[in-house]
Amino acid sequence: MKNFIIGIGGTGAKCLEHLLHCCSAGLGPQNLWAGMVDQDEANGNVSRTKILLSKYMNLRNSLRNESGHDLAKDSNLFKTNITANNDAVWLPLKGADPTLEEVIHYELLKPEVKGLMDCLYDPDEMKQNLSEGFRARPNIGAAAMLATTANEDDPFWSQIYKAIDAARGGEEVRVFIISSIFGGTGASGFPNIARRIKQIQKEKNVTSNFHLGGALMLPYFNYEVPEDNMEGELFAKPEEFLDQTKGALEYYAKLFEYDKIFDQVYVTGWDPLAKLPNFKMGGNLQNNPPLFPELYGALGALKFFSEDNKINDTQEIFHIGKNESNDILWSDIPNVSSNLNSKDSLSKLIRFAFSYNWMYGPALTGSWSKIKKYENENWFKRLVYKNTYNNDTKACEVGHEHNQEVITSMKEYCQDVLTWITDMQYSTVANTDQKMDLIVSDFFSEVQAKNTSTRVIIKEKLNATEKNQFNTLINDSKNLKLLNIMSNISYKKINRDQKGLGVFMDILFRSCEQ
Amino acid sequence: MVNIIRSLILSLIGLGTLAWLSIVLISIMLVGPDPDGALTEFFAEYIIVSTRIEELGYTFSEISDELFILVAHMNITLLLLTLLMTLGWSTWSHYLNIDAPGKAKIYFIHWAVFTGILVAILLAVIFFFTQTTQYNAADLIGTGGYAILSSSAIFYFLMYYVGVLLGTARFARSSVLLANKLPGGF
Repeated sequence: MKNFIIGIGGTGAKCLEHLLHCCSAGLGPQNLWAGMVDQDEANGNVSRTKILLSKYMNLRNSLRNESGHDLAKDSNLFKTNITANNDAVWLPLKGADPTLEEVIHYELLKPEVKGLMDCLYDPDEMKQNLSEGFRARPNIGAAAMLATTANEDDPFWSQIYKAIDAARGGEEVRVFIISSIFGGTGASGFPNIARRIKQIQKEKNVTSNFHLGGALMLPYFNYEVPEDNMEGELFAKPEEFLDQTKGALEYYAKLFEYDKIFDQVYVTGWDPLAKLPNFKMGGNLQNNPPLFPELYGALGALKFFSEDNKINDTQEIFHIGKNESNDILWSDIPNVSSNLNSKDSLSKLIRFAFSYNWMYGPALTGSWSKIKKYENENWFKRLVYKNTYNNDTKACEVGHEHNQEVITSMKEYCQDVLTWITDMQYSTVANTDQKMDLIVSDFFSEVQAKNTSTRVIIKEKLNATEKNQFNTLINDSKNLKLLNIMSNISYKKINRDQKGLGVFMDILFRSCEQ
Repeated sequence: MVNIIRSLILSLIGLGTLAWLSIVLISIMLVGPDPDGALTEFFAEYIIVSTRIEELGYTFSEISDELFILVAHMNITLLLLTLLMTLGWSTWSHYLNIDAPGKAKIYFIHWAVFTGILVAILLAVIFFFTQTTQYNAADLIGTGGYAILSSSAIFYFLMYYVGVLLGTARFARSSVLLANKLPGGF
């Protein structure tokens, strides 16, 4: 089965961030092509996901290499083979500082068409610089998207064409689109890209094996817009989100009534809305925190891709929300399928990130002269020494550059996981009456609410008391201690196909479950 | 729990490498002395003081039964003690707070103290059987005999060491002398 996911706009990109972490925890499908659509290419949310995507792919490639380090097929760590185009982001409008006027060649239009455009768009909208997105104006975004041709030569669209060709060849193909319903890029891209895909499907006469799914994010956050220097600016106004949503839902209701665009649609929102502390119109400063509802979007996508998910001929619409109370708990996270427990997988990943970042990663970092003090310890001897030993040089090469690169990249990724979960837990409920109790993070991190670029600081070192709090890290009843992890890594069975550092990484990951 | 059971089995195998000797010896002792047996001869020659038997007006065959019972009981006690302490350490090693790389060797101190206690108890048991009035035959054991019987502490210590060498939790091996030289997969 081939799977494709497209995150549209800032929300789409943020949902992809959650999805990537879920895939590294083993909740994803076997393979997945990921792409993003955003006119605001420099957008902080998009950049963050792009960086994470590239880290994921690099680390996975390093750890799933049959001639080097290999986690082996059965490992759930970085299970999903995610691929992407060289540039994972598709910009609907090419060129520097495009405007709607330029895109539709306004000056060349016939007078009557010009008149129509004048009715639909005011002069400010026509001249608005769109290099930082559509600024919550789906009417602009829709025109811009429709004006760009989805041709087969475009690297982004070529993937969609390939997907449809694969379906025609008899392979099962699933495409999933995620975006917000209330923004600019997402709101305009979601229906237009979906319809364009359906159109290609019809053109290619593909009637089976091809399934389209989507996640629509209803309003789930807002922010305060500063009053200074905002006059005449076009930007997403939170007070308009609900009206935009209402209009969009009416549109979708009609669309779905007459045409079956999607096989499955996942709808989610949040009440009360999460309150973001910083408002930025766009660009690299718009770096919003990961929020819990986006995890629902990501899990919706994974459920859609799950092999257990049997897709009917009728169009299905699923919706999800948290429990009635103000407490957000692990039980609010749905499972991907009957045999993929989201809570177990995510908590395993978080425990892995913690133990790797502070306990085992530092022990493996540096030259051999620094690492060799562990050479007689069972975990090192069994999982590292033996698997990084070079028979030609008669030496353990864990301290060599090629191994150190993997060790350092994994440490960076683990810090991303810890930052992601901490930020999500803090930012979803900050300044609201809600409480999120998924993990206990205050002993290993500091939150700087006002700082957009580094909201969460992960402590470089932990003292013994802080390390001892590991058993309280995940709010569940398992009480897994670092001692249990040490015990598990010494006894877990090594898979015969595992090689190099893949042995240690997988065993540590598996050791983080009770 | 599976790992602990695995440790206990390995410990028992380690103990078994020497314990069978002890069990054979105990069995022979409990059956009673064979007048022509080598063991009887060894006892007569090296363990007891012949002049003391003569002073008391006994013959060796009259007191050998009691002497064999003494040595059998002493060995049963020593064997059980060794077994208990070995299995105790093997189990306890799984609960040592070794939660980070490099931490196991700190627990060498714990192992050394534990082993010291075992040796002290072994010597105390030997002293109890050979130097107190609990067994009448103890009166007949000479200094040489006491030294020979005391050296059985070395045998039981070795039995314990092999037991803990194999039975200590994998992650705690650096706390036991030379145990970390065992192959990783063992």
